[in-house]
Amino acid sequence: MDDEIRMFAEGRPDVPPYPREAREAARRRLLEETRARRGFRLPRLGWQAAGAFGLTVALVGGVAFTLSSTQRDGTAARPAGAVTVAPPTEAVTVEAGGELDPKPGQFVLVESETMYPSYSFGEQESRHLYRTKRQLWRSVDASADGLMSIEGMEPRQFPGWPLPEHAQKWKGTDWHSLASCPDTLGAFRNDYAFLSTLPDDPERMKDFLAQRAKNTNDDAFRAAADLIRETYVPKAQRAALFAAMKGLPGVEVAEGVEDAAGRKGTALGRAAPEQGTVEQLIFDPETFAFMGERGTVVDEKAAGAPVGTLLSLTAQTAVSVVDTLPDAPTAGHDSACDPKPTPTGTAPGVEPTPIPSPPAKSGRSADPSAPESVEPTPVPTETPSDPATATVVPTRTG
Amino acid sequence: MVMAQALDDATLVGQSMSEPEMFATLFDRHADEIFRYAARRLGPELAEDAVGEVFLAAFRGRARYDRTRPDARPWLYGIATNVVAQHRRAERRRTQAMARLAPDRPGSFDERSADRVTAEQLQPRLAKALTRLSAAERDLLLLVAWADLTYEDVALALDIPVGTVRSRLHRLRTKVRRALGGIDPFREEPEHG
Repeated sequence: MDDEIRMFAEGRPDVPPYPREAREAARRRLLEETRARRGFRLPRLGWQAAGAFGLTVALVGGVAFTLSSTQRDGTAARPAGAVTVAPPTEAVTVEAGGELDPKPGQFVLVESETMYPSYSFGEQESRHLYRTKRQLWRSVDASADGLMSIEGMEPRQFPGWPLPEHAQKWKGTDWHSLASCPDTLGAFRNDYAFLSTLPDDPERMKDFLAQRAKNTNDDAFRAAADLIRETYVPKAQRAALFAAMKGLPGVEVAEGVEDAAGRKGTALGRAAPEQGTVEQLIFDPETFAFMGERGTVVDEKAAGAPVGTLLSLTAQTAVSVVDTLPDAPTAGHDSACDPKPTPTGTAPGVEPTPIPSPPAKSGRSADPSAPESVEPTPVPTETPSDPATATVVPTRTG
Repeated sequence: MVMAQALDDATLVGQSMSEPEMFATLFDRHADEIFRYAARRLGPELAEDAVGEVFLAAFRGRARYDRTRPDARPWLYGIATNVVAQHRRAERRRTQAMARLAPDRPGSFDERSADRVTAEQLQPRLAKALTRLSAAERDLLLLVAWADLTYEDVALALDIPVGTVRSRLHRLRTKVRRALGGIDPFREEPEHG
């Protein structure tokens, strides 16, 4: 390293370690955000959040767009029936007892309605509750890519916060391809074939949940929620999961709890003190089918909303099995599973290019008036001015 | 069974597309390092907020992460650089405050002697030199000097060609040298590089 640089390197200010409390708070904030966006593969809301944050998140570090396309086509979602196990849409085999019998090569289709809080930071902080109708097709045996559609529904206000402007752009439907790569996902698979291999007794299911929770630094309750949202779990595993969750520390049972579709079920809930809410997962008391979830404020200060406010409310309105995916030309390519060249250390794409000559204030004057005039922020090459209608062409420059 | 901890950053980011919670592992991996960098530039208090902002921005922009890069640090430092830029005014105050310490220290003979100048005592002078640099030059210099990134990583972080990194560093070294009084305080040697 050159001397001048070494002087700075050696002169770096001593700093205290990241205070534990602040670190945990930042991590919680991040987790909250991940939950609010759970399942969203770059939905319009993602763009809006990025927009709200301004250029900060726009194209940093020479990254390429690798996202699925987000074109909207205005497709209206089918009205969702209030049944847990739907009648066949195309090719469904229903066993006795109303259970689905998904076969390899088919797809499980889960339809749901969701409401989650959205928090935007940046120049203009805002909060609102965004609502969607979702359809998610997942290959029964992870042998094919899946598909997801997200249709905006009218947003609601977060108590005490005006609806932000970007929340108004909720209309339309986004299609997203969901790449399948079971080998990469390993124990994080959520396809039917994998779920069928899970333990069917509560104790071993608890162990599995603990293991999965450990890998995401989460708790077993949330690991269980991740397992049952927008999936079809076979009956034996469902029962084991319900019993396992019921036995988790702090979990309380409540009867007659309503989901977003107004259906009543048995809720397993536990406090999420950091969010100031109680999180409940609602099940059909007889089949243990997952019906929906509910997040209710119990601590006004932590949640920033009055006690009793519903911050999240969902319903899984239908689960069915289909042979084929619908046509979704706007879904684009999901590069999540693309093979990665394994560069060793340095980036293959970055070549020492001919030295361009920035306006060199030649040698003599170290112009002290210059400092604040030069902005380092790389100008994004593609910043959709209207996130909701932007068409992003997936490209890779890596 | 695949452990989240065993996955490289690129794979984690990829998985976080469908399992957003996986992104927390990235935080666990790099938050302390990003905090140290932000704290050096903004002071520890502002850095607490900045780290949260960096990871939220990273999470929201994760679809744009180039997954051919197994190490997310350059990407995170790039975002951190932009977050620091948003707090630029705070940074300027901090730099100026550090620089102001310089005249307050008359310095004994020993302190002025090149051999005895410790990094810590040099700080106000360095801070002063920093104020002579443009914002872009500061970002570049401090990523190299404080974040221990390679030139290639810095190029990724700032989204500029690595050749540009080298040429800018060359120019800013000259500026620094001049700001420090025209001589290399450590040893006398002709300009190079």
